[in-house]
Amino acid sequence: MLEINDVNLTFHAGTVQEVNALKHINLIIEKGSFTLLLGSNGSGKSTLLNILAGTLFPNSGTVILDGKELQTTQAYRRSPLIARVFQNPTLGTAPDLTLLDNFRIASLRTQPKGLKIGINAAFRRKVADHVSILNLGLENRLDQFMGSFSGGQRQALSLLMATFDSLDLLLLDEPTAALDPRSAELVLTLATLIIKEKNLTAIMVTHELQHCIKVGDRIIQLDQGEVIRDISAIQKSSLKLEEVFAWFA
Amino acid sequence: MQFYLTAICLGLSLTMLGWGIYLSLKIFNIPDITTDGSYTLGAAITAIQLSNGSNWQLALLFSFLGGALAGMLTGFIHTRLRVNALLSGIIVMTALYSINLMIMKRSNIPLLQVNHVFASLQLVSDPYTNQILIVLAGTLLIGFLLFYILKTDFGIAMRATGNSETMVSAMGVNTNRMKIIGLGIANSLTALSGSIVAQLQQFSDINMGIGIVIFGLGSVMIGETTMTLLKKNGILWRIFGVLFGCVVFRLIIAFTLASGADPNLLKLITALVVLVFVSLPQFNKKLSS
Repeated sequence: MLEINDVNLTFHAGTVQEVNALKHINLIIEKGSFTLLLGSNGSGKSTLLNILAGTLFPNSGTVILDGKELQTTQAYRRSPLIARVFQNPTLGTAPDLTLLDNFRIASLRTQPKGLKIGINAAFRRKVADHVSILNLGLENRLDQFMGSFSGGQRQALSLLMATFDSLDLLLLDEPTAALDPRSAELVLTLATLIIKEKNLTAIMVTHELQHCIKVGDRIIQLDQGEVIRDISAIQKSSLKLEEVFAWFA
Repeated sequence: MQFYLTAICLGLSLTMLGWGIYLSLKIFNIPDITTDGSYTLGAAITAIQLSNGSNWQLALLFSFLGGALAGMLTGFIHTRLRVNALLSGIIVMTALYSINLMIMKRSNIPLLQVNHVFASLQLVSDPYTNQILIVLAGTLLIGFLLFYILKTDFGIAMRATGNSETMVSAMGVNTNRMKIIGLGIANSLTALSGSIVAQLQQFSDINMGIGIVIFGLGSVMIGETTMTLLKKNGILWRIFGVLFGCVVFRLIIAFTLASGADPNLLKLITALVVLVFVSLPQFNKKLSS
């Protein structure tokens, strides 16, 4: 379970550019739920995601994941619990490393990276099996540089990488925003599949209103740093796209 | 012939420095110019150790540790004090000039009657062949170690740090610590080169490191350009490329000197060689497009 208690964050405090990015955010995210974080630009949804990931720190309030207080923990120290998929596929993968090297790092997200050679035949097979579910033939291209794959392929791979090792919370930051419609569909389907299959707790920031109908168990809408709408699974099941559009009217 | 063999031997001795630059510049994507200082640091430590009667093993060990310390200091200034990488290197390099003088207590120490590695280790009777064999064996050993480290899980994390910092910190790597360690390794390799060259030339000089970073950069560029042209992208090839670059660069300099060029033009020629190899990929792109 993820608890966000009275989280506040102000940028440029005390200057004319002062922005109250998050105001008194209180949320409880149940284990195994898939939450969509909705909001227009500047609503604070990415800020909230960054606070969960540990790349931003709140001025006050607590973030508690499965009993562990995290609000002041550095991103790299949270990584045993939290995995992340970035909006930009180039951020989630290392382009000049091979697919196999990328997965090796991903396989050690929760562990130290020691002075032993971890890529062996068994690991190769494991990665090949893992990427074969994409049906893109990538299992035959394990030694290719990540940079030689398309944006859609890289995003799908970075999703697989994020969920390769065990995790408590998956953060998806507009994972399909930079992709063409077909790749976006692939990544979204894959994300839904993995979240369901592994029973993951996931939070996805999105701009795509269709996502509200297609995926997830809960919708939280932010506006100017505040939660203005919280739609439960039951309410969501009867939700129409027109209604979602109306939220932004 | 002897002349070119000496150039090859010097090129091999400087290969560790080349690998140091390769690590900082290519693996970590940090332009580190602590090199000028840590190279001389290696030579200074070696000179004072050997002239105080110590053996070459200890001289190499302390040079290595000194270089590591210098590099980690640059890394610390860069990552913890958030100073621009280039400036961090300049600060440490400048400070090292005085440190090196303090270590040596004068600007030049000859190493004629001491237990340096080439006097202590006699693999073959011919002294020149002996030199080349020792340098070659040492360099290959270090090169293999470097290759091994880069292949390990730790090495993959190192490579990923310079390539995609966001990704690697989301994967649990403390990138600041990684950079400090990386610059430490890079400069310890550089100091090893300084130590070996001092023993090879049988003297240490306070000014021997001035401009050496540009030699290292040039060698890395020659290696990278050649390996890219040959379509060799594996790490082993890249590591070998730096060795190739260092030797070729020394041969170019030797050839230039042998052809009767004014030795005062040496730095100009060095700069031009580097310029050619740095800009070569651009010309290649233009030609193919």
